[in-house]
Amino acid sequence: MLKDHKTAYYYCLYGLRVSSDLELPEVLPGVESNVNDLSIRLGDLRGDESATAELRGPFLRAAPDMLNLVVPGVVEMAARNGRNLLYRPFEGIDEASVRLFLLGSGIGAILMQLGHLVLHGNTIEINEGCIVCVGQSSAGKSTIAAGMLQRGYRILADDISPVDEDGLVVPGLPRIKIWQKSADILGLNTEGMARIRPELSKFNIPLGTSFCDQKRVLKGVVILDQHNDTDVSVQLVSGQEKFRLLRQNVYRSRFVDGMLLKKSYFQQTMNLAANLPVIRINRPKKGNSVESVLDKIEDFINSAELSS
Amino acid sequence: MSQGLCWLASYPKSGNTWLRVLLTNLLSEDAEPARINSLVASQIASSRPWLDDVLGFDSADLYPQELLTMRPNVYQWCNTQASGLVFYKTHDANIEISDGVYLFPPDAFSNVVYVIRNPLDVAISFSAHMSLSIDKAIAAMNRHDYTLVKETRRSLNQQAEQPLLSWSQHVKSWVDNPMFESHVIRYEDMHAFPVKIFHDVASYLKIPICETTLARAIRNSSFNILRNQENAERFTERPVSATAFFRRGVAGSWSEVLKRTQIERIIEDHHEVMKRFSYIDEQNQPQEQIPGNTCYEA
Repeated sequence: MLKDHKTAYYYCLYGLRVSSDLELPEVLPGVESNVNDLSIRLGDLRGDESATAELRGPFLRAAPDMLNLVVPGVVEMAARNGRNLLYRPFEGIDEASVRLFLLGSGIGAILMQLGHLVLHGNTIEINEGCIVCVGQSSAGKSTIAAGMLQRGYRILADDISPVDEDGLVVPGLPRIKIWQKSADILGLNTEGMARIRPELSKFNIPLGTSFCDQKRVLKGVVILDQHNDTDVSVQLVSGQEKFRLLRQNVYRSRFVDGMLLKKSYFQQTMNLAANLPVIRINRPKKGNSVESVLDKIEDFINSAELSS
Repeated sequence: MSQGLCWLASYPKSGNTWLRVLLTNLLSEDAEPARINSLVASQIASSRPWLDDVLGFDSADLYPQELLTMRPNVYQWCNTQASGLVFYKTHDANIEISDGVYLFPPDAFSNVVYVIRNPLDVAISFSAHMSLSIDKAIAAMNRHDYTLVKETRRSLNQQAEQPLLSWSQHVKSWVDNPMFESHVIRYEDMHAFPVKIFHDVASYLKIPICETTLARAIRNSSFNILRNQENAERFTERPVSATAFFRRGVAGSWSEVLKRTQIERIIEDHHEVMKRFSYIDEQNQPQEQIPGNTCYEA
């Protein structure tokens, strides 16, 4: 049941001053202000201008600076001009579920509209910069982020990692999301942690002082993948393959196409491919290989490729 | 050629991959055999990365039932966007999600090829693939609620849940669906009458072929070639727990492997569908030489 929407809350999210009529406990509190970069508010999306925007998926309409997305049974969202994120919850849905998708695909669309190249991965602070660990669903991104936390690293962003025009990653939410099974593997206690949705055993883990709230220059990319082999393998990626893999790990490429951002994204991805070392780590689909993967990531962090 | 999605549907270990090998070779202009890691229909209906891309949000953030109700929309959308004939594979039973709404509704494809295999042989292959004892595999094949990649809500798998139902229910969910007709082929007929079977598949899919192409495709799809390829390069779709994917590729090994009690149990569980597809005779006895009959009515 949603609370009174006349109240305004203020936050700092991806470097934006945000006012919201929905409480967002996962987000860093901001300063109350009449000047805001992003407004998140309940909206009536019926008869919205985007009704004429092109259908880009069964639940997605998009046009330049405009994106409408429906999560059936949960929430309908509209991202406008990088400045407004409207939402309309479905009857009876809980707030945590609404927030999950607003702070996922909703904010992802806003960041794209602001001109960032958004990668689908977690950003980890390293000396003199950061790396982004990207990968598809179930590749182990969040588990790896939690593991790096345990090894003393700080996190800038979870799942949505925007790279600005200067090649810096912009910090996002001061939390990571982790499945119960991954928490068990890492020995993390989830008792008292909020579930991302009432019936999922995936938890919001607050980062506290392990959150890096400053932009950091992107120094390298790790692509996490799985295979049917028994070993963890590492491969330094080069040439066209680098560009192809980076493109594959852009957040919501369907949004990019729909909002006609392909050309700028192509250039931004080319720049990353030209300037950044990229490795691909394949882990076995079965068994626990977390520590081995973390070792390989630390080897990469300490390697000559990242120091040059 | 037809236009839209073509689902290659089957219960697991029923010849789906071999069908994909044959189709890849049929569609290829290359004289060399197709590579096992470059087959058509490498995309499976339950693939999370694919579902996430089309949905526009993370399927991992959905409850299993929510995702199930959205999957038909994904397939319908992809069918409207397909350029040419695009093959996808699935092991899902075509379950009815809600009144009259199926997981694979008729507007989610242009064609369906359903491969059926003698459950006596499926049990053996399924047990090896899933690292189950044969008895446990037989029990699983009779479970009405059997699901591959069952969601635990505690972790995430690269694929979404795949409801299989029982083997018999799986077959009927595709072959007897009231809203469309599938092109049904038997694994055993793929072995015994490959020219006729694949000529019919090509006709069904409106793929123009000549006899030379057909003969070459069949020759290049032999199990020996597949096994040799798998020995030389790992088949990426083979689970870690299985020692080989392309094991024997024969029909009828059940008579050497299964105990009498296991055979009787499978027949007891699935006799209606087995009789319909000539895997048992009128006296419910298993047929060692499956009669050649490539035409089955729904």
